[in-house]
Amino acid sequence: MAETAGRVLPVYLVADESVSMTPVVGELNAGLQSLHDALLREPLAAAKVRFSIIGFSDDVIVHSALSDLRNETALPQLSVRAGTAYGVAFSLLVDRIPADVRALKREGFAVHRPAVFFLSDGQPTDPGQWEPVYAELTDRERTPTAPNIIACGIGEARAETILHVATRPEFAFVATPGVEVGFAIAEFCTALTRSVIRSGQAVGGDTAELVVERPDSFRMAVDVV
Amino acid sequence: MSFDWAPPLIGVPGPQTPARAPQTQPYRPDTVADGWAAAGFEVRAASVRGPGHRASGVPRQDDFALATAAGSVIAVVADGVSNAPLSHLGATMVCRTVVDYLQRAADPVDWHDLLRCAGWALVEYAGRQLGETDPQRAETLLASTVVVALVRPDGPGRAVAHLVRVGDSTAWRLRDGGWEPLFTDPADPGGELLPDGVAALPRVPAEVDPVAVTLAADDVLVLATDGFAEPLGPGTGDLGRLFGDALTTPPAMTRLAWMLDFTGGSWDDDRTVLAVWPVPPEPS
Repeated sequence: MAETAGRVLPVYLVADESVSMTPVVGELNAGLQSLHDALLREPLAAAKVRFSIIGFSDDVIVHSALSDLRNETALPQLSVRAGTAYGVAFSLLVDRIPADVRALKREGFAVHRPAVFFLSDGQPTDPGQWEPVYAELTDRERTPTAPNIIACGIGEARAETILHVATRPEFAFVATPGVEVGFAIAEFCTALTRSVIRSGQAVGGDTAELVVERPDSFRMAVDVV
Repeated sequence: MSFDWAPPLIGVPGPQTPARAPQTQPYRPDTVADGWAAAGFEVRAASVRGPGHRASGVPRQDDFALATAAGSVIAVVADGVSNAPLSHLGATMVCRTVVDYLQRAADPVDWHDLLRCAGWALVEYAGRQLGETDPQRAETLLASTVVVALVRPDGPGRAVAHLVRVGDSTAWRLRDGGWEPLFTDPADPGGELLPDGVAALPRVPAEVDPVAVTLAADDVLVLATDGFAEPLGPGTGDLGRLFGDALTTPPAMTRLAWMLDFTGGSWDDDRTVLAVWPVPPEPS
């Protein structure tokens, strides 16, 4: 194929389906519905996003594989099951993300670094096991398609755990104590929608030097554009 | 007389959305086209707002500038970074600053200083007009890529161009319908993914080495933003053929703008193309 088919951003929602999520899973499903509605109203943004919904507990379920949400009539519903084993979710992503990126490239797309939105309301029930899998997932040497992970903690999830899961400190969000968990979920879904719809490029934080001093030869060409 | 004004379709039809009015000041047109002939050169340029910005009421963030200086052509194309909210102004500032600098530059040109001045224009604008004195705020608000060409005559119908850039705006020598890239594309070093961000002014690389290219009769120098470069790819598809054929000789200015309004797939970015032809003198 001579021309590429366009740019796409793969987005994975990885949601905690432990029993403790019972009171808020309805709000999370409603938030996903709003995301879907928003994308259907923004077909140009939707054309550049592929979305997957993954739920984890003691095991992991792919509720929907990476797909173009413009072709989906309804999103699957998250449910609640048992524990909070982070490792099974990261392990699935280690396999799935490189395969998904390869498939998109075969279709001719140029692919942005995938984004994972990780939501949990509890401490991991597999301490010592999830960390090595997480390290493999996020190490760009071992996993060239390593995702950016945006982590959101509600309820019992501790800030240090969420900071560990997020690939950058500014990608970690922990609900303020006292804030209703349902409200935090709504905020998370709003942030998710905004990020997905505005999947524009970020300014590169590369090695080039910021000009901070006026060069001697500078002259203002125009005062007002 | 009839003409089908539907924009060229490249690939599969994409979503159709109406063009919304930009919610920004000052006035900025959706499409601009320009061109002229100067001693030994013809130039054409057009910049068209992409379907994405039309749908969301964002102004065109691309811009270009053209000028002559001492028998040379100055050509500049800039692309305001999409998440910098005033980057359309940044792109325009950069274009005008580069032209102003090159019109009074000594030979040889200090290319690093040129880019530093173009970057500083953003910092100074942010300070003077927006009250933001921190250069990092200038970057957040106004960041823009740039590609610059200074094209000098090199005998009848020939020219030598020197080019520098910051970011993913790029250039080709178009020869016999083939698109020869003049910069190595950072987006495609056999990498798995698109780069995480784009280099942009007011950041300037520590070292700036201009690319030099000769233009023979029938060669065309083409500068463009990524809104054109990405769908073009290696130039062997429909878009490469459409522009390769149309730019064999300088087209009507409105024809270039019309072609740039191409639709298809998920290509929704602003797109700008600037072309320079060395023209042999008329036989006397």
